[in-house]
Formats: sequence, C-alpha cells, structure tokens
Amino acid sequence: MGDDPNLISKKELLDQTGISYGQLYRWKRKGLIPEAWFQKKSAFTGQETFFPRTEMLARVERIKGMKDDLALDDLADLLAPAPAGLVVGIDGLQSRNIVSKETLDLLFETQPLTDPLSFQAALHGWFVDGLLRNGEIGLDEGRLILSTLAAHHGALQDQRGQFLFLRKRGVGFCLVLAGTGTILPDPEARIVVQRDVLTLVGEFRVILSGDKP
Amino acid sequence: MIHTTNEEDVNVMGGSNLPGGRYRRINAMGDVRMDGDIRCLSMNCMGDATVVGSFQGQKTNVMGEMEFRGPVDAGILNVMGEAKCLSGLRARTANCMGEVEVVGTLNADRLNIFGELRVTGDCNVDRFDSRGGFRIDGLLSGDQLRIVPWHQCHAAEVGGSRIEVCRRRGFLGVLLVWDSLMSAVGLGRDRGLLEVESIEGDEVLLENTTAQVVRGKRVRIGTGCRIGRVEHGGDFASHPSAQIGEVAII
Repeated sequence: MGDDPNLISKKELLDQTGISYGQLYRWKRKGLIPEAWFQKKSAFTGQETFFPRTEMLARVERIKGMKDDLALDDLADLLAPAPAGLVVGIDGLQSRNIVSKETLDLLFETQPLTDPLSFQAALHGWFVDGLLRNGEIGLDEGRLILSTLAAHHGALQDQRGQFLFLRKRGVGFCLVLAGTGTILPDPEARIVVQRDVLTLVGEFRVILSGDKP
Repeated sequence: MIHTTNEEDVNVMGGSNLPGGRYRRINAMGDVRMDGDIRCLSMNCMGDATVVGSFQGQKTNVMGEMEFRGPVDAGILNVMGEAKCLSGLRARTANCMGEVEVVGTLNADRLNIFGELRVTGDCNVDRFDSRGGFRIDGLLSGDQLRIVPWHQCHAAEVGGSRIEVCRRRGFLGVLLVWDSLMSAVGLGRDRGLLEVESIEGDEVLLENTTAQVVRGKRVRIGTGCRIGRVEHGGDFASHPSAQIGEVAII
C-alpha cells in the first residue's frame, strides 16, 4: 500500500516539507487539513498514516506560505468548507474574470438563481468555467455538469466527496461521489475530470479572498 | 416549570424544569431538567441536572451530576462531581477533578485531569496535564502533553510537539519507599501505566508506558516502558530496564 504513488506517508511528508510532528498535529487540530486526508494503511511497521500526495503537498506549501500573514484560526477559516450563509456577487465574479459571462448564462439556464449567488453555485460556475476554458468539455457537457452538481452537491456532508466527469464513445456523464471511495468505471469509459470537493472549495475561497488573480 | 425573563439569575431547588433561553447565572440545586438551548454566564450544578439542548456558558461548575445531551461550549469547566456530554465538548479550560465522559470529540485549550476522563472520539488540546486516569478511544493531540499515570490511562494514538509521561513520585521518595515495602509484603499498588498504540512527537520522554510504536525526533525511553518499535531522528537514549523491540533512525 505504501507503494501507491498517489499517496504520501507521514514520514515522507515530514521529510520532504521540513515540518514537524507538532506542526502537523496542530494544523490537524485547527482543521487546516481535512480529516478525510488522514488515511490509515497497514505497513510493515504496523499502521501508518498516508495522505493524498498532490493535495497534501500543495496544502502544506500553502499553509507555510500564508501562516506568516494570518493567524492559524483565520487560515482555518479560509481553508474550511464554505459557511452556508456566504454569498458571491455576479458583478465581482465577472469583473475579476473568475467566471465568464457565457458560463454564468449556462449556470442561470440550469438553476433558478438570483444575484448574489450562493457560494456553492458560484463554485460550480468557476469549476465548469475552468473546464470550458481548458477545452476539456463542451458547452452541452458544461450544462450537464452544472445540473448534476446542483442536484447532488447539497447531499455531501462537510463537502467531503469528489466531482467526476466521464466520457464513453463521445457521450459524457457526470458523477458526484459522496465520501471517499474508488471509482471503478466501465473499462471503455475515460475519466476526464476527477476533483476533490474540499480541495476545490479551498482553492475557490483563496481566489475569492483575492489571494490569486 | 419555572418561568423567567431572559438574562437573569435563577435558583432552582427541588424537582423542576427550566425552559431554554439566556440567563445570567443558574444555580441548580435539585433535580433539574433544562429544556431547549441554554446560554448563560455561569452555571453551578449541585444537584442532578440535565440539559436537553445545546449549552453555552462562560463558567460552569459541576459539583453534583450533570448530563448535557446537546453540544457543549463551556468556557471554563470545573467538574468535581460527574459530567456526561453526549454530543461532544468544547472548553477553553477544562478541569476534571471528578468524572467526565464525552461521547464524540473533546476540544480544549487546556485540559487538566485529576479524576477520570472518558472520551469516545478524539481529544484535541493545546496543553494537557493528567494526574488521574483517562481512556481516549481516538487520538490525543496537543502541543504540550504531560501525563503522570495515576490510574490506568489509555489512548489509541498520541501526537504532538512535546509528550512527557512520567511515573508518579512521592515527596523525597517517601511514596517510592512505601511502595517498595508494600510490594515486598505482597501488597504492592498499581503505579499507573499509559497504554497506547502509537506515540508521535518532536520530543518524546516516556516512563511507565506500553506502546507498539514510538516516533520522534528526540526520544527518551525510561523505566517501566515496553515499546515494540522506536523510530527516532538521531537523538535517542533508553534506560537499561526498558523493554524495546526494535530501534530505527528515520
């Protein structure tokens, strides 16, 4: 299990990033690292803790980069799943080029929304906008993803889960995976997009806070 | 049923119900059931009280028995009797001098144990000082953890910056001599032990500890320890009487 390239062990993480046990446990206590990322696996020395490699390394770098400017509690707030009451104005999303007008039109087609948008709706718009800009999906597929996310995102507990978009023989379909688990699709189907919801939420919150352009 | 306007002092004696709401000070001296959510500046329970909803208080003293069925945000919590928190506990400082049982997670800045603590989930603290007994089914995590196992202490995992477990010592060795004498005549007392699956910290100093794995940058294993495997960062020492399976540098 320790050979899974997508996972990083706690020892390797500490070694690679230079953080201490104390810092890691402190960040865990403050909620800076999602509970679901701590995965217990059997190793020859007994139980060891592993993390999703890419997400964890990115998260540690982000915390190290920001903790000089922010108190840990503020940082926790920034990285935490969005509070239900948070809303996002459409003008701001457009003027800061976070979501394009085309994607916003698509968003309004699929859901009955009003300005300002809920954090969740704005997140969906930003997520699909990124996929459209990268050319990973077409407009119809974007519409399909937005409808699926609107229908099922609310069922996720504490934003734990994944958004997936698969395509088989040119036909695309979207999935929302609640909790953790492995997707075993039809061998002919290709996973086009697979994103952790908590990570997306964290990235979107940083963008909204103006930390990134 | 006692009716009260909000933000006032309430004294409840005898068998009574208190409606949920905001209060300044609540003194519960009988058999009291508090329905709904309670917000107060201070709570003194000297009888047998139950809070059915959530509880938020700045200072809470439990000298009798108290059951919290909803989430608890207790500020300063002193338990000299018995407290049960059935939906987790958050406190700035929690002093457990009697018995505390938490179903779920316990979060506190400071936690001092002189009695007994039972937590079914994780226990997250900045500073942890125990001179009593505890059983934590999940992770005990903190910056500074100091444990003098007076009774049996158990946690699934322990993690933090500095973890120190030391056996209790008497004044000028009186307790030690007394225990040795009692042991010699077959009346030896249990000297307290911490049992844990894994311990991880930057500085780990252990006595009277049984653990499967100990990982740390600086590790000291003292008397009364049985450790399956030690992984350290180059700074390691152990007492000759300590039983250690394997030692590895990480």
